[in-house]
Amino acid sequence: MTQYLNIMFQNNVKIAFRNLWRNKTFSFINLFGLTTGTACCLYILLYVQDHRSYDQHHSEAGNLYRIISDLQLPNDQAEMHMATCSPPIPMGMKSDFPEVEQAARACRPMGVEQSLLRVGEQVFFEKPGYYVDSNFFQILEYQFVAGDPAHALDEPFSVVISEDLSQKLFKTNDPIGQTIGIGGGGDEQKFKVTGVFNSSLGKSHLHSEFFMTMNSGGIGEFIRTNDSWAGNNFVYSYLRLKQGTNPAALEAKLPDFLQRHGAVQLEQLGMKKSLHLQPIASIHTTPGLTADQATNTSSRFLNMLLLIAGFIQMVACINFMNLTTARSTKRAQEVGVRKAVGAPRISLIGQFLSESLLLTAISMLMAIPLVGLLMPFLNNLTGASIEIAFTKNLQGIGLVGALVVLTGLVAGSYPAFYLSSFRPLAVLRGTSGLKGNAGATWLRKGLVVSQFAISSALVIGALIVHFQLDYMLEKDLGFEKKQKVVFPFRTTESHAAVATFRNEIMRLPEVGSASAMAVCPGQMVYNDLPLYKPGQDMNSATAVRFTYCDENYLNTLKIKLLAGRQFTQADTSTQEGTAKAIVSEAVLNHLGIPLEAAPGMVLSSDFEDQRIKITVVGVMQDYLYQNLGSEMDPFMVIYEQPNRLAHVIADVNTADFPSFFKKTEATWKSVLPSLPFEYSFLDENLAQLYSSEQNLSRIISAFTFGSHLDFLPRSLWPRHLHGRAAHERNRYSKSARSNDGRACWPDVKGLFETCAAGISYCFPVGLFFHEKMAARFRLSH
Amino acid sequence: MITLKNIERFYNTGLNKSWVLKNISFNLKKGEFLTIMGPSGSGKSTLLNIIGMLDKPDTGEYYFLDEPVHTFSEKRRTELHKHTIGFVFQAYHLIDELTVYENIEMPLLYRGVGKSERQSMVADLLDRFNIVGKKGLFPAQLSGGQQQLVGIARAIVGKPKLLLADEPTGNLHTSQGEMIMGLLKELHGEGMTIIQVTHNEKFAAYGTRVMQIEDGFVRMDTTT
Repeated sequence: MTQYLNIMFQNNVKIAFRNLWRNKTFSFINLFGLTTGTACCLYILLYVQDHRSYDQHHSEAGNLYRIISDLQLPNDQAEMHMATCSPPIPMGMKSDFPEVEQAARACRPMGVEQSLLRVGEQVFFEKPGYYVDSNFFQILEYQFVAGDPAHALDEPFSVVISEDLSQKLFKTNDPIGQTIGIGGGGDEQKFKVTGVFNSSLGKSHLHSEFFMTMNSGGIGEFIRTNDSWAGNNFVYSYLRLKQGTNPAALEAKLPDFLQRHGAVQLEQLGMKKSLHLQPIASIHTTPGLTADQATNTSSRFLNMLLLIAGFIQMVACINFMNLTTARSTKRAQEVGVRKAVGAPRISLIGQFLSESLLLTAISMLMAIPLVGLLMPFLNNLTGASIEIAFTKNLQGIGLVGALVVLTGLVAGSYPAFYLSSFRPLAVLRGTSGLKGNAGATWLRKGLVVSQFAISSALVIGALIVHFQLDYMLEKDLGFEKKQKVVFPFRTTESHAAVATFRNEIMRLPEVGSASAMAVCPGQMVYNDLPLYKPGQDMNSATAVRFTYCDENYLNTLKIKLLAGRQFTQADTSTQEGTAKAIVSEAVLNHLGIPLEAAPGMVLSSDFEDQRIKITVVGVMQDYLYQNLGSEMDPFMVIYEQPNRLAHVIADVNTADFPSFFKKTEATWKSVLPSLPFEYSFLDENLAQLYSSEQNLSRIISAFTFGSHLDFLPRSLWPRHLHGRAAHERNRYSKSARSNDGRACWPDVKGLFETCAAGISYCFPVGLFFHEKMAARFRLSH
Repeated sequence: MITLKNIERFYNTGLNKSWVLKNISFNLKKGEFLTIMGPSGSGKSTLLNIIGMLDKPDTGEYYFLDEPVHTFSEKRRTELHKHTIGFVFQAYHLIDELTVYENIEMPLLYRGVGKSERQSMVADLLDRFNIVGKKGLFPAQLSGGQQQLVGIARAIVGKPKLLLADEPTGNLHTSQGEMIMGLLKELHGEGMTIIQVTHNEKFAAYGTRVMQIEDGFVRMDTTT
């Protein structure tokens, strides 16, 4: 055995190189296919590895859990799965259960898109940071470059910021003791910087540029003093369990625990609630929880990507096998000679395998810099932030090595075992060993069919995802999204200027209408209220989500009024404790109210001893106010004065946006000189909601394209290869019966056969994709 | 050295058997130079392949150095063949991707001969055949006669007990053919047992024994 290994290394690599060099066309096609395939595959592997790496770096990652809640509200059919829970729950668990070692909460100010950060005279906007309990960093670990993670948040009004933010605000990495004014969603407060962190330890589902201590008044104080065990499910809660704790056993104790503390409250709200423990390490790969911190990537999607990667590499391997067998007459002679001089079969297998391993190793060496080179482009495409760092990453090296060996073995196995089985006599005398080998012919045809099927399935999948997405982006949402400009008012003080700004821009000739509102379509709607109609009670109430707006809302967004009237400025009156609302058709359907009877009706909601009354002034058509993929849920808008609202949307009828923005900026500067002017387009904001679907579409399209790149040279050269094989058959066969034309013809016929077979195989796969997408968006068409 | 008893080789064509070789029996002593002659399709190459252990007889007994080869498994046959028989082909069958040196060295690799020993064995042959200057060339860079020279060198480098040559001069000009035959004669003179298949009457005369085969039968067997 060792002697054969010796031969393999001494001779085979040399021969493999000479073979490659001598057959440049063949080698180029093979290398091209293998390199593009490997590059795609490598990027997918890195992408999946990146997504699976989230929250694996905490030293006790296996003992860390997030508390999540399942809620069932009265008369709301769908159970809600929330990523959050009520504020006192984690602390209660810590005091009730000895197996809970640490508990900490985190919360972002609700409904705030951007926080205002003020350093001296300078103002910055940043995604809102989290209020966290002071022991937070003892559960989730971050690399601190300054400050002490154990005590950084002990003092009231202390804040820990990221290295990036520190550079942005202070141009230094050591801003300890400096002061930042933080506002947005409440009054501006002064915070003292007590720590700086970076994410060099690894990525986390909880990504934030700054963390403020919970002990800082405002919402933090609300959480700290809150005693609601049923409602107020808006807090992210983390637990560190003692080593060796069985999470399932702890979870089994939670129903009793919840009853012990919150039975009365649950009864009052008519709510069913259960608590669960979610392993931290799985958060990033578990999408679908309501109010989660980030857009997560499902494990299934990652598995699907791995499958695609496998397909791509498989296609490259099949190409390799086919190309090798296409010139097997030539190789068969070599096999014959070697066997005649005494080569055992195993050394021939070794020779062919080392040839394919060499080729895959070369293509891997070309694929790595290729991926590195294309990385910014690929990351842009997939929305990921992956870096190639094989030197740092042993797993990555192992991955690459495994990929080389696996691809080389798979790609080389067929030629190796097929060619090495040739009988020397047959090939040396020219009666080609290819003939009469029905099994090999079938295998080869089967390979081409499966290759074609895989390719077609990828293309069909990519097309379906693309068309579904197109449909989602183009479908009627119930309101008009084109030509709408959004102006956000980020700070509480700036709200005072909303009315003036709205009125000023309405005077512009380009503006048809402008409306102030608390939440723009597509943004998260946090508020809901269980409502019942006159003559009934809370038991028959329907949860209705709502937001606040001014009197121009329907006109600006072109939402159809079905009955009653629009708001007027007089609707501000809250006498007799009633607010004025325009409800959606779905509200009437849920409560069983006929359209004609709705205007003027008073809907009620009871909470503890209070009764809230809402007067319906109008009925509007259903529209997708929040999640564009979800159904038309019951919704209403309640009148509010512009000065308490955070956004203005203008319906603009011009193509000359530069001059429009010049005018609006001047208006902004006149009413709000201290804040930077900012705007966005509603349709672009809505498209953002689909970024993950768009990513999916782009990823699948890109990799499908990548997997087909090697068809290009192959489709240009196979004739050449077939011609050559036929030529060699003639050269070595004593009776030159076949000619080039006839030698090629069966392949053309075979191609049609295999195409047909491939198409019939790929349709079920395509339909599967379609079902998946349709289910995701609850569509039927 | 070789004893064949009632060797037969046939194909089943429907109800009838089609005979390639029928009832072949003969002995070959060590040091003989046998030439097998006969028209195309007479079965002479099949006979050579059976003797060379690349093919198996359907019936009959084959003793090589008193070993019953007809009872051997394929693996054992390959092992025996590897160590005792050298092949020379009409179409040379050198490996295009290997140099002259590497082509000659190849059988030694499969026998597991050590590196320094290999070097001296190959060097001796290159020297003897006067092709030292060509050792780095590839087969495509050589003339037909030179290629066959390398083919013979490859066949004898492992010091086989039997050298088989299937029309070694079939693709060569007369002068080159004479050079090759002269070489075979020289090897025979050194004690090598040789069997060659040829169409060429003149080259048949280089041997010590001529066997005529027709339709699978031995028609004539003369020792000079």
